[in-house]
Amino acid sequence: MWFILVLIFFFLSVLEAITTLPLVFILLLCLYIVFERTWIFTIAFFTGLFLDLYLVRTLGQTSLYFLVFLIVILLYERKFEIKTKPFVFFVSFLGSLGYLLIFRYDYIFWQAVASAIIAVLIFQFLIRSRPVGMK
Amino acid sequence: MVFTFFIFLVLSIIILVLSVFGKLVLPQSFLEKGVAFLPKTFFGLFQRIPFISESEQLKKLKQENLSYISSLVDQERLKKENAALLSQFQQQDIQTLSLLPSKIVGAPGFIPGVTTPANFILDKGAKDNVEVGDSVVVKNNLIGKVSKVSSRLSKVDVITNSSIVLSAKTISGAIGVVKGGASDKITLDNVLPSQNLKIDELVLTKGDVDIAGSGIPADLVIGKIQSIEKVPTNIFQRAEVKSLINLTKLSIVFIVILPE
Repeated sequence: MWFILVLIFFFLSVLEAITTLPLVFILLLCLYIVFERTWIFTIAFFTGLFLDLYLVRTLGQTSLYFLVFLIVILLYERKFEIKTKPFVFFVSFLGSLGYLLIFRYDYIFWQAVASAIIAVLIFQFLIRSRPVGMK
Repeated sequence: MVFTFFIFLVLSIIILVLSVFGKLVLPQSFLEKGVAFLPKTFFGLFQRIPFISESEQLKKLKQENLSYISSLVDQERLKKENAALLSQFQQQDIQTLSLLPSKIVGAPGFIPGVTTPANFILDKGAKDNVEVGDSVVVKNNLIGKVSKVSSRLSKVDVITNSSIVLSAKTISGAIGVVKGGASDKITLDNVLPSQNLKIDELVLTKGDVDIAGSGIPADLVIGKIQSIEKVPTNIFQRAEVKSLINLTKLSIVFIVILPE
């Protein structure tokens, strides 16, 4: 499981060189929504730093955004059910919108929609492939 | 879980603050050594995908077209210089510019190979004397401007990026301001209604060089006028400009740096 995750993040981080879709961000979101584990914050921190080096941004920017958004999900989770497709769509749409606005990319609306759709697909895949016994 | 979050949040904020004040140059340079080869490898592979790369014949034709346009611009510049020398009013210094070839190692766009990238990541940085504000060209076509530099990489805002605003002129002498915009648009704005714009006319940089000599040199080709918007009630007329370079197919560009 760990190896697959590291590989996925590596792959997605490399894809960030050719597309502005926030793939790493939506994968982190889906992982957190499905698994709700502490190590996701660790991955968010280090992949954020990696992306800042890779895309010549100020170090720490991306990590900060990832972490702040994940904690918003954590706070929201205490009140509402988050393991639903509408929630995943909505939160990844908003998160992608914020990410694309902050880092000043184009086609913000359509990229956010595309990201939200990809997020729902990733969420479905993760829900089906998570180990038995996990809630 | 909240405790872990706070540790990483504090770490992120500390790193961000140190980075903004330039205290992380050395560690960043060290980390970039390990990171920089990844985009070079992967982006190079991506560009070799058949439906992404261009046919050789088409590439050759485009190169020839660019050469002819370059000759046309040089011819116009020489005509003006001759006229100026003859009239004994002006004398222009021909500045020798230093061109640093640089490979594109990242070009993130919405749909790779289809939409224009928002910016380019180049494999040259502060160690190669690249500075923020340096212009990036292919032949004598302006591609963009360096917006951020790290020790081994630099980020270029391409000409269609909304952060690009520079003074421009047409071959016939109309003066305006070129702005990048959403959806890969370049707009020539703030042109007086009395000045004549023509479809297919070349738009060139007017020159935005500071006292140190860095900035955007004059007479770089921005593109050709595609359409003109001239409304009698508006103070200015504007035109839509299209770059002569296909920004999705580039692999090597040249950074204009100050001669040492």
